[in-house]
This record gives sequence, structure tokens and C-alpha cells, in this order.
Amino acid sequence: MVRYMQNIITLKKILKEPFFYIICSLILLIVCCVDPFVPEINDRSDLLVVDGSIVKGRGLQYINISTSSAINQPEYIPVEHCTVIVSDSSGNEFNFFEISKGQYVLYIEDAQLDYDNKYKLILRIPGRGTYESRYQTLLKTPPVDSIYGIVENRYSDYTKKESLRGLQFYVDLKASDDASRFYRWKIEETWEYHAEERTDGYFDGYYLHFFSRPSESVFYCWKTKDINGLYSSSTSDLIRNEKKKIPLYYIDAASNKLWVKYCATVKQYALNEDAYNYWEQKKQEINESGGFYTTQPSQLKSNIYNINNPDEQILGYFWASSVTKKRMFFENPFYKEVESACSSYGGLFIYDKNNIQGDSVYAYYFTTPDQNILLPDPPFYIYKDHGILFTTVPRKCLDCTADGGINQKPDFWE
Amino acid sequence: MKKILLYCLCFNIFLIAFSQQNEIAISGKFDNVAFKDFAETIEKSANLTFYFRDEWVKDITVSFAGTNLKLDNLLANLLINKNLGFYIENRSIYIYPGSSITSELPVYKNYRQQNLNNGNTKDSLTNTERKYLEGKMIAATEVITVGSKQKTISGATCIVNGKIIDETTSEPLIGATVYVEEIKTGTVTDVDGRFKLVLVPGKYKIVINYMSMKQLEYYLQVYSGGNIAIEMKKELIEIGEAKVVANFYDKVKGMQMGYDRISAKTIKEIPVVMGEKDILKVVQMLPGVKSVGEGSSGFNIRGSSTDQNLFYINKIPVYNTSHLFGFFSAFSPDIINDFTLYKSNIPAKYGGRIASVFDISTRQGSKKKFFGQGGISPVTAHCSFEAPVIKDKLSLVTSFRSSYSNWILKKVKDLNVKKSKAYFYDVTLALNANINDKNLLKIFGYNSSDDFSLSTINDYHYSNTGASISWKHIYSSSLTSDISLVYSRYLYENTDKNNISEAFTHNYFIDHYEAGVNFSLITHFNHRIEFGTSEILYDLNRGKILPYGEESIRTPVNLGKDRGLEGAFYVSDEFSLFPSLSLQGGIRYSYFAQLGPAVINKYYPENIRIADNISGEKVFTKGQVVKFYSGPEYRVALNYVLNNDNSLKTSYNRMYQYIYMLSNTIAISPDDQWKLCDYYISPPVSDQVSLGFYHNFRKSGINGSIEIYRKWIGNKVEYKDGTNFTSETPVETQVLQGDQKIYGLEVMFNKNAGIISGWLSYSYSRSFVKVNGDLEANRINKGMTYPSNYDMPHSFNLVMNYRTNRRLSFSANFVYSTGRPVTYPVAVYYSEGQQLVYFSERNKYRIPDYMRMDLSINLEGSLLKEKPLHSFWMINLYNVLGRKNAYSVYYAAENGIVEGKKLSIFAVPIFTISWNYKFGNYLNN
Repeated sequence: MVRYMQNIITLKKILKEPFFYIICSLILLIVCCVDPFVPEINDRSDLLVVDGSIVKGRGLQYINISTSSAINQPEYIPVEHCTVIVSDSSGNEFNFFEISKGQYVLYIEDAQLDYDNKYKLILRIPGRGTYESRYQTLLKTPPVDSIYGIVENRYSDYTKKESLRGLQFYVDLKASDDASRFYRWKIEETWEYHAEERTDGYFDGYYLHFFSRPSESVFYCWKTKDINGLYSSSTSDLIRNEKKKIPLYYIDAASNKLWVKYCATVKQYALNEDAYNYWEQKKQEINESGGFYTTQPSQLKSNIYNINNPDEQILGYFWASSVTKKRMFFENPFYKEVESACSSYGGLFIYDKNNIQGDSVYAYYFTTPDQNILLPDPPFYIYKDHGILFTTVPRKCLDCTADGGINQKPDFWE
Repeated sequence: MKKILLYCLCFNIFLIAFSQQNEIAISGKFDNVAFKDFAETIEKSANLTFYFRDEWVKDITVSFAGTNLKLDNLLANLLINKNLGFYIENRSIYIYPGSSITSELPVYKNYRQQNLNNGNTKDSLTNTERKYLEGKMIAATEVITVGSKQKTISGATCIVNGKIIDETTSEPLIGATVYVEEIKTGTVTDVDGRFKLVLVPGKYKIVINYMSMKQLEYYLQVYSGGNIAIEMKKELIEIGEAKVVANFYDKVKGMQMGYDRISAKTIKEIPVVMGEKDILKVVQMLPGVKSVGEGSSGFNIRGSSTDQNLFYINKIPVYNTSHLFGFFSAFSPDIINDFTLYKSNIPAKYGGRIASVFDISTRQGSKKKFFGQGGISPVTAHCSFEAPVIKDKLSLVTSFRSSYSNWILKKVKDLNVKKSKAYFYDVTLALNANINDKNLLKIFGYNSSDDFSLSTINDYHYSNTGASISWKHIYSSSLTSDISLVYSRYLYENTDKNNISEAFTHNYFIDHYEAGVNFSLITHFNHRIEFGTSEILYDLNRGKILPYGEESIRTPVNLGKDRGLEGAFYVSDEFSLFPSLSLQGGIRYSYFAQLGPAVINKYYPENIRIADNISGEKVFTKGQVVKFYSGPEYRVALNYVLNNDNSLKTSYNRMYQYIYMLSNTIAISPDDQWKLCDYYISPPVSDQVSLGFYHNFRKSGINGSIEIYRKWIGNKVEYKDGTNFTSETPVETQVLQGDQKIYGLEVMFNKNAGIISGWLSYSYSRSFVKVNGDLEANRINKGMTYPSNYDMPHSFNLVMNYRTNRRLSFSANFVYSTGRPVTYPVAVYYSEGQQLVYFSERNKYRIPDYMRMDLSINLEGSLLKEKPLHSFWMINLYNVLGRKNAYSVYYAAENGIVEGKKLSIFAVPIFTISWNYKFGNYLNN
């Protein structure tokens, strides 16, 4: 029965499909399974992919040009040596330059981009031809109204328990009636996290080094990441141009993101209706297919076309907007609610007295109960407790930088 | 002694041969002459022989004078008042007692019964004679005499009306087969157990069959039109005895192609998921019937879409046939007597959907005895009762089924499930009254309802409500009429609380008012004519989207109302062109009027109907005809009987459909709405031709058939990408109409009775859609042909029931079908740090093939005759192989990476036990 429940809950998580989920739960004996599956798909395509936008308030603008790859062998194939120009309806042109393979950038001062001006993209791609996008109006984005998290219980992959607390983040939208009714959000998250113990030294493979006092250099870390996924919403069905509780993303207590201090930076973009429809559809394609009442995937066309061959299929959508940001801090909402995955092992170091330096380590042992637990290769940090030297696996438990974070506090950190 | 023997001889001849021309003329003068003397005189002068007994004629005196008088007229005058009949063959004149033979008797059950009715005959026989006669008759096949000899018109056809009833319950037996050997023709009884035969006077052997009933054989002596009633007995003791001929002749001899009839008994035995006997799951085992996946409602019949099927339960159209969004059907198994599926040549009296007609008929109810049954399965409890209200006149049947599954939800720890509710029920009530021999009245009411709420997010409610009154009147043996009034409502309500700002409620309903009359006429020369008309008024309210809750700022949207009148006149005739070639021809003239009030958008340019091109509107007032569609629907079928066991059939069918479903999902979703054809949406039309060969394997009792068909569907409604039917966007901007091309082959082997019964079917079916408008905006899939969502070429079904003894039977299903088409992403690309996918041409790939095997064991309780309750257990094992059949295969993103996933439902063997009981009359199925 437990296994059934897990299946059901997993399913719910993945599908977000209310009917299906409830029916499965209703009839406990019904087993719904979601398994990884790779269908045999032989199509190959190298369609042109244009990933680009002009955003007032961003400064550095970038346009990425690549080609698509086969579904079962995904890879990023950049397209080099293109001429990339963004022009506005008054005839100004911005020439981009290739900073790395397939990535074209230009720093544009905010003053050079005007609200309600129209922008289009012009591409000259060697061996392919000239492409243009339709004009996109650069819309003024209203400020982010508010962002907040609400504690919710959900199934967690981490604990395999039926449910675990977590934070679901929401954004509220409030705009004047003359503003756009279509929006996208991108979120950048930054969180502070700590190592398990302050280190007292490290072992480099030959010598043990001890600090004069416990070091905090690899104890406090900050990590910044973009949240994956597409977030969009519209108020076109509503009387007023506002909407509450637009769901963004969810983090459960098992993640160390929410242990100490968490910051979400939400960037809001007002969209033209056509661009919104495109992104909304992409969102559905990657989130909501496969359920009970699946709709036929549609093929909304890009606004970029080959001027000599309008039938050529282009992927991606060129859009223009402005950005407003809002930051929100969350102080240790779920401090160590979940048992740490770190284990500390006491160590014994045997010195090689015959060595010329006199104190290099001849051999060392740790109390690992299990052959499968791999001790880190030196160098690794150690700490002292009641005179015994310990190290902790995995490595990131004593060295927060090993988890990808930096030990420099970001400037905006409060 | 001599005369007694002659009398017997006379009787036998009388049975076997008659209707020869006898024009014997006599001349002479008689004045108060005793009959005996008269006879002797005639014998001498005209070389004739009279056979009679002296005591019969001792009171008759003959007085007449004349020349060239017809002897038969003369004799008729002489004998008619004396309770005597006569029969002339060649130069012999046989006189026999019993004038009651000469008057038309409504019922002649068999020879013995006839004798009982006929006191004179009996009294006039000595004990020895009777013994002799009866002794002879028992060995022989019983004879039913119809009509009177006096009324015989030589060579002209007459109509024999029959009724077949269950001996124990007096319920009419629906779908019993009556086969006449001499003319190689059969017929099937209708919903009132009635049948008609058109015969030239003469003697015939008829064979009557009904599932689980003892086969009956009679000689039918037909003089003129008349009525017969035949009671069939349950075959109780001799299980596994020669029942193999049940429905034996039907498929070869009948006119119908693509036709299946399944009885309650079959429905009961087939293994099912969750122990719920389910008529619609049984349907899916038939060739040419497919569903897009487990737990989805709706069928695709011969490659057609799900909205092209018409479901009737006792004449009430049912617009949503499922409970719990498709996991169960909305028809309680207790009440179902049988159902019929027409998918090829649909009789002219049916219309309105282009793919098929499902006709479910419910139990008629015993007019003699009380009966009840019911059961409990893991999901529902159900029961039904039937009782005679007035014995032999009025019966009442009622059923109720309800889920009791909420308690399961409460057991689940997950909060969202705990807060959820799911509940459904269905209830029926039927009254059947035999007012008299000429009038039959039936009243039926039906209600099914579903309530479903998911946590605090969504509430759903939908229900079907319907009532029908049907009055059957018999004018004469050849003409009957059936007048019916029908009302049906489908209601759907939804509250969506996903987001407090845009929370809304929506309800929509369709009201269906129907009045119809059907005449059925059987003329001489064996024409079976049906004609009639039906009128339907649709009142469809697509409903309003209204804000829900105080914080909702949803813009109210009125989706509008549709009113339409659909009507049809039809006439059809079935007759034999030659003894071996029968023709069924019909024409149905149907029409549809969209009625005001309505506001129709005008578009400029007219051929690109998108919201941006709306240039104005046309306003129609109430009752004004907005748009009128009409057309003839031809229905032609030919059956060429090669011999007793082989026949070839072909048919051509045209159908129009004036209502369709707004749906852009692959399975029918609860949100899907019915919509009438209108100013912009023309009615879909289908032309189907079929050809079939039918064969009986006489030795094994198996009948086999192979049919091929081709369908052309025009004005198929397809949906543009990204449609949303709950927005204000006009429907005509969201749909396009195209052509559908369908073809296939169906093979079926069927064994209806015996220790092992069941069927095996294979079908090959293809279904393609093409929407290729003149402009790019009016094309789907770039105007190229694509397989429809339900194009599943191969499917194979095996249903087997093995009865070891009277208390234990085993059943097994095996199902295989090609996976349904799917649009897979074929390319992956990166945009804004996210992997995105690009989809192939529509439906270019297929999900993996589907395969499943189920088992069930039916265990009957004690077979004691005297007991308060008879109970039986049903043990089901669904998906024995535990195969993880794909319901869908899709790609979904997690942490920015898109991965392929397979969703399967019922992916392990599922075991259920259900308990059923019946009381009152254990012989009922």
C-alpha cells in the first residue's frame, strides 16, 4: 500500500493533474506509474534557434543563436559568425558582437531604449540567409507588487516520507489598467548556508596543518542560481489588472536553501500578447503534457522568419520588455528540520618519525563503518572535538565552497 | 373403424398439404335428403369420395336445386352451422368436426393446446382415438396453427405476429431468434418480445432460440394472418447441452451488418476492473470499438471520433455515459437487459450521429413474480427490484447504485486527498403496462449524478436526467405504431478555485425534447415497411463564467445559448427480391434549423475567421431561423444468402450529424461541451460502404464474419491549436472543418453457448484527417493528412467463458491493440536556460502497443430451490500479466532538463472480490 501511495504522490507531483491524481487515490488499488521512458524517435533536425530579447533595465543584452538537436541526444550547438542587429522603428540600429561561440552581446544604456518603441531583430547567418523578427513593442513593466512564501506540505523525494513541509513561493501582480495584461517572471535565488563545523585545520596528504583558532573561511557560504522553469500569467480574464497568489516554485525543507537565510529576487517583465502566448504554450509543453486530458501539442510559430523562405521553421521568440525587480528575504524558516546527510568520522594519524621534517603523516585511519563510504582524498579539512580529529563526508559538510557557493557575502545581503 | 383411420389420414393431409384449387361443380335437385344420402348420390355421379362419421351429419338435411353449383360453397353453407369443417383434395372430401378452427384464434400454442381449446374435437374422440393421436403427436414436432382455412387466400402472403415470453416471468424475450427453415429467413424479436413473419399460407418449420433458453422447434401451419405466443423455458438442468444454436442463424440470415447484441448474462461474466460489471467495458471487447486509454470515457467506433456515437437507454439519449470521468459507466448493470450496437448499416429510424447507435434496453420486469438483486463491490453498492403491480398487467422495475468510496479518501494520509470527495449514483424507474392486447405503455425515468471535489481546488458536478414515455399500439396484425415522448438533460457545473483572483464557476446544460412516431407495416409480398418522424428541440446553454468567492475579479463571460430544431422523416422497406436475396432500403430526410435569438459575427475577409477580423454582427430575433441545413440520408443493405450457412452482405449508409463536442483533448474530458451546428459550422456528414461474408461452422456452433468498410466523413470538426472553450472567443474562430478518411476490416468468431463460450475478434482500422483550407490560417498540420488520435490499426480481443459446472465458471479476456498515435517532440533546443522541445508533425509516432489479460471466477451460491437469498461471488484479477501498458508517453521538464516519461494505469495485477445476491426468482439472469 505504501508503494502505491508513493506512486500516486509521485504522479501528482509530476503531473499536477487533479482528476487523475484524485481518482488514483480514490481507488487505492489502482496503480498509476510514471517511469522514465525513451521512445524511439528517429527524426533529426537542425532548426535555427534564436534565444533573444531586448530588456530595458538589464544593461547587457544578449542574443544566443544555436541549432536544435535530436531529442534523445540533446546538445547545445552554437551558430557562429552571425551578424546580429536590433533595430527600432525610428531607424536606430544596435550591432551585437560575438563574445563566445553563438553568444552575441551588447551593452545598451537604458536611456537608449524607449518605452512603447518598437524593436525588431535582424540576423545574417552564414550559409543560411537573412532573418528578421516582427516588431515587438517595448512595454513598461509595473513594479513587482509582492512576493511571499506559504508553508505547504508535499511529498519529498528526499525523505520518501509521505509529506514534508516546504515553501511555495507566490507573486502578486498589481498594475494600472493601461499597463500590459501579460507577464513573465524570472527568479534568481541566493541563499546562505553553513558547513557542519568550523574547521581547525586541514590535512594535505603529508602534513596536518592547524589554524590558530577555528576558521570560518569555509563555514559561511552564499550561492546564487537562476530558477529553472517558465513562469507566466495574464490578467486578460480579470476585471482589474491585478492577480493574487500567482504560483512560482516550491522548495522543501530537505534543501539546505531554507536552513539559514534565503533570498528570492523576482524579475518581472510585461509582454506583448503574442509573446505571452508563445511562452505560455512552451510552459505547458514542458509541464503539463501526458496527463489524462492532454491536448494536442500545438505549433505556434515563431515571430522570426527567413525573409527569403517564410516557410522555414524557426524556434524561439524575440521579445522586448523592461524589467522591474523585487527582493525578499526569508530567515531560517526550516532550520535543520531534516536530518543532515553529513557524517563525521574520527581519525587516527600516525606520524612518520623517520621523516626528515619529523611530523609528516605516515598513515591515517578513520572509523568508517562501511567500505562504501569514501573518504575524501587529501587535502581535506578537519576539526577537533575533545582532542579527537574528525573529518566529515561528503566534503561539502566541512567546506561549504565544495558545494558550489562562494564565501564572499553578496553586496545586497542584509 | 375404417372411418376413424380415414379421419386420421385426413388430419395428417390437412396438416401437410392444402390450398390447391378445387373447383368442383355439381348439378342436381335434393329435397330434404339426409346428408349421408346426399353424399352417396354425389359420390356416384361425380366420382367423388366423402369421408365423415355418421353421427356428425345425422342432423343435416340437404335441400337445393341447380346446375353447376360450386361444391365448396354448397358444403360451406351446409356445414357451417353444424360446427363442421371440410377439406377437399383432388376428388376426396374430408369432413371434420370443430368449427372453432374456422374462426381466427388469437393463440394456438400447439396441437395439444388446440385440442384443449376445442372441446368438440376432444369430446368427439373416443379414448382409443385420443390415445392414438396423442401418442403420435408427442413423438412429432408440435404444430401451431395460425389463422383460419376459410380466410386462406391462395398464394397471397399473410402476416404472422408472434410474441415470445419467458415462461416463468412472462417477461418478453428481446432478441430471440425465429428462423423459418423453408424460406431460409429469420427474424429477431423486438424490445417487446414481438416478431413478425410474412409467409405464404403453408406449413413451415420454425426454430426459436434465445440465450440460456431451451431451443424450440415447431411446425407452423399458416392459413391466414394471426397471432401466436410462445413461451420459452429456462434451460436449467442440462447445462452445456445443445445451446450452441442460440442466435445461430441471426448473423448469416439477418440484414444487419456491423451489428452486435450483448445480453446481461455476457456482461456479468466478463472480467472487469474493480469488480464493477460494466456494459461499456464489454463494448470495448467488440471489433471496431476502441477507447483512447484506460479510465477514459467515450469510444471510437470504426475510426470515428467519440462524439459521433448516440447512446440510448430506453429511448433517452445520454450525453455523458460515464461516472468518475470514465472509470465506470453511468448504467447500473442490474437494470440492463441487453444492448445493441449498430455501426454499419444503421436503420433509417435512427439518425443524428454519424458513427454508431448504442441502444440499451432495460429489464421489462416480471408481471408475475417479485424479484430483486444487488451486490457490493469495493467501490459501489447496487440493487434493483422488480414487481408486478397488477398481475399480468403492470410491472415496476427500479434500480439504485451508489458509490461509498469517500471513506477510502478519509483513510489516506495526504491532506489534499483527505479533503477531497467523490460520490456518484444512478437510479432508474420503469413502468410497463399491458393495457390490453392492442396497447402497451412504457414509462422510464433515469438519473445519474456525479459529485467530485478535489481538495479545496476544484468542484465538479454533472448529471444526466431523462424520462421517456412510449405507447405502442397494434392496429392489426400488419400495422403497429410506437409513439414516444422523450426528455433528457445533461448538466455540468464546475468551480475552479486554483487561483483566488480568477476563481470561477461555470455551469452548462443541454435540454433535449424529442417527440417521435414510428409505424411498422408488414404487407403482403413480404414487405417490412417502417416509416415515421422524429423532432428534437435542443436548448443548449453554454453557460456563464462567473467569479467565485469574494476576492475573485474574474470577468464574467456569457458563452451564449444555442437553440436548434432537428427533425427527420424516414421510410424503409425490407423484402426479399428472390428467396436468397433480400434488400433493405431506406431514406431518412433530416434537417436542422438553428433558431434565434442569436448574434452572429461577421468577418472581413470572410474566409479568415479570427477574432481580429470581426467586422460586424447580424442579429436574429427569437424563433427566427438563423441557418437551415437538410439532406437525404440513404440506407441500403443487400443480403445474399448462399446457403444455410453462408451469406454475403453489402450496405451503403449516409448520415448527418447536427451536434458535436467541443473538445481539444485526446480523451473526453469533463470540461468538454456539446455544441450545435450553427451559422458557421456545417453538419458533419458520413458515407459508409461495407461488404461482409458470414459463415456458420455448424459442427462447432461457431459463427464467423468478416467485414470490410470504408467511410468518408465531410465537415469533420477539428480544433485549432491552443483553443480555449471557456473564453469569450467565438467558437467559429477556434475550429476548422476537414475531411476524414476511414477504412478497415473486422473479423469475428463467436460462440454463444456451450461449456466454452465467447468470442475472438480482430480488427484492422485506419483513420486519417485532413484539414486543408485555401489559406494557411485554415489548415491544420500544414494541410497534410494526419492520423486521427484514435488511429489504432491492429486490435485483437479474446473473451472466453468456461463453465465447469453449474456453480463455477471461469472467464478470461485478452486484449491487444496497436498504441495510439502521439505527437512526440523530435528536437530539443535551449532558450533562456531552459530545455525546450519541438514537436513533430501531428500524430507521427505511436505509444507502445497495449496488451492485457484478465481473469475472473464466478462462484454461484447453493442451488437449492428453497432459500431466502441466492448469492454469488465474483473474483476478478485484472491485468494478470502486470504489464505496464502506456497510457501516455510524454516529455516533461525537471530542473530545466526535459525527460521522457511513460504513464501507466492499472500497472500491476488488481484483485477484487464482489458479492452479489438475488431473491424472488433465481432463474433471472
